Amino acid sequence: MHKKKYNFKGGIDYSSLKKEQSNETVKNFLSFPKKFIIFIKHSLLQKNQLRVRINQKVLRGQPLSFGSETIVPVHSPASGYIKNISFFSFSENKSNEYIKIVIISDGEDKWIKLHPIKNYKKHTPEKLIRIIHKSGIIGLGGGKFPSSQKLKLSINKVHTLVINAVESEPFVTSDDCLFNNYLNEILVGCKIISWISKIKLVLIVVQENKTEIISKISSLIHNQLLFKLCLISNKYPGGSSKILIKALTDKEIPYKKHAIDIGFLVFNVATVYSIKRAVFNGEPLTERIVTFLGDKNFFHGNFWVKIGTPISYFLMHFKIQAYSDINIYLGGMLMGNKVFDLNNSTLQGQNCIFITSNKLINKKYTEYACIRCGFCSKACPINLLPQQLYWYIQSKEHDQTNKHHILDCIECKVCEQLCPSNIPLVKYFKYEKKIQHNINIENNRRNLSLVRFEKKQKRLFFNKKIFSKDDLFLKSNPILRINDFNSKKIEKTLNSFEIEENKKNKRKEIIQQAINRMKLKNK
Amino acid sequence: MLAILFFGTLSFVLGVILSYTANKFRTEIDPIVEKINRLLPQSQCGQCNYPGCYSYAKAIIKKNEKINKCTPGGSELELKISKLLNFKTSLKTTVINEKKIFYTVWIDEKNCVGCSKCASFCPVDAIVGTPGFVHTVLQKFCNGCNICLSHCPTDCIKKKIFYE
Repeated sequence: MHKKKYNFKGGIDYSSLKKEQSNETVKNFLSFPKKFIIFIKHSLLQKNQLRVRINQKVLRGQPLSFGSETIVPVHSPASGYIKNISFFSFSENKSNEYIKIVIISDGEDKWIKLHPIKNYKKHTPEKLIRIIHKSGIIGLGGGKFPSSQKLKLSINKVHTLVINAVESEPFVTSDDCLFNNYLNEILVGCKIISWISKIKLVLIVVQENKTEIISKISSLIHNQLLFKLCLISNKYPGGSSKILIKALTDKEIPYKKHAIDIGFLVFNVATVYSIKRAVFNGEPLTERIVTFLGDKNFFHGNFWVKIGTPISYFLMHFKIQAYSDINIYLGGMLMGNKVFDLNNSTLQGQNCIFITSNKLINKKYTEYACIRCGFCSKACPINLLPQQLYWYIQSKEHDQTNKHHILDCIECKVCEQLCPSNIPLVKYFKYEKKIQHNINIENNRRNLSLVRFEKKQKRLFFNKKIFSKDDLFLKSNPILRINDFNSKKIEKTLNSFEIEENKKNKRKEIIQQAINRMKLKNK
Repeated sequence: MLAILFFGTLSFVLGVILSYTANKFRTEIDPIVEKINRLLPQSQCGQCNYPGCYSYAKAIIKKNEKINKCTPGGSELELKISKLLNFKTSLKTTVINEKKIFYTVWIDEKNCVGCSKCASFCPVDAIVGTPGFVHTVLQKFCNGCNICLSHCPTDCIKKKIFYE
């Protein structure tokens, strides 16, 4: 069967770099650790309220915090008791504070009472959305946007559902592992979502080199009109929703808008699977598949990992001891962040842990001058001009960088890989984004204080007009001069003020007379 | 002959329309003054010896006032205005990238007697309270102009660093 290959502009082909991609089908179970550490975001605008206290017994799947509309609740991964609750922040910046909860498990994996729904077509979509919100599901591809809100926005707006099985990072195989083992359950999850928001077409997007999965899916979907399989070329930054929709339909999402506004609903595979679990089995989100990626020396594979397992437990399990020689990254080879604290735990959004020995990374790259070769602007998947931005950043022209859309950059590091003079471009872009953010805050404050100042001036001016007896007010207002009726009305009010003031003066005189009399009596 | 007549009448009609619109939709606000007013920090502090930011911006254009009188704006604002008006600035007088510290104000509520003098002098209505009761500052709207500091009789208003 001939199928059309979809392609997008730019990107790097990593398939020539041969690396062992084993363990696609095998999923290993880790024996879970004794100590779990969970971080809940503590934003200043909407404070998370905790449901538990210290030394309380919890069961698996019990909610730890209340959830509002924009924040979903977090559930405990195992049964046990709570040892400690404290504030914690990864950096010195106090606006990014987290609540740190330490749970010690008792070994038994007891669930709380579950409420499974077998026939989802009997219930209204509002109720199903509420169940999804209660079980705490967020975008597991890395977006972390609450999916209940996404579904609520999509009702009566969307015509196709796009299921994103394209890995955003090279050599990460967590999505393939899900497709290989739980294909039937994912298809049921697609049906649930399409029933909630009344969708009549589901596109499943897979990379072209994964032949096993393609044959499996096409044999299952053969007669159903609802599903359709799409192949995308095997290049690096293909996981972002903007790039996916540009590749599939040739439509660009406009600036500061979402894919829902065009009519496409994009979900990751792992979220679809967890939605099925939440509705059919009643289980809240407590575990996910994480890829463990290493060098030649280390072991790699896919594992079911409970949310909140600390990284030091992974190192214990694989018997990696020399901590000083090893760099650990959370989330992929290219876009990952380096970890310094080993008590840092795996959260919902992370799909990869990457470990390298120190020798490979510590090569000394010297930074040469930019020669305007233009390789970076050819490879950029979202049509930016990295070299032009680099020149503007060096000369500190912040208006020009905003005009060239620096805030749209997705930090995929393609331009940095291709640069012949080893310039760390993304480092500059991150720095410039912070400056743009500060300028935005300053402008907002300026506008707000201007509006409030003008309002106060208007109010003071209006008060002056009524209370002063000058006829300036009547002269300045031409409408009042012509209309005799209105001017009479205002004269009446002015007269009434005079009468009141006279009354007050009289009262004051009476009181003073009384005080004088009292003084005379006392003498 | 026809062409001259045609274009003559056309240009006459267009001229009448243009002169009518110029009189009808005349703008009272000077656009350059408005642009400089947008650049100023809008704290209305009066440290430039003018009552507000708009009157200082007016004075720059019409009275040839110096650019460097705004203290909360600093040298960065001097550079921006000079870029807008095409002035030549010597780099000796301007220091780029000095660290900005933003102040807000808070009221020590134990010592507040409720005289409501600070509330009447605040240019952006950031102080809330009625006479006879304790006053508070709304931190979101305070722009750190420090006018209220000099008017408090009990010295209960203090500075507070918001961010660096």
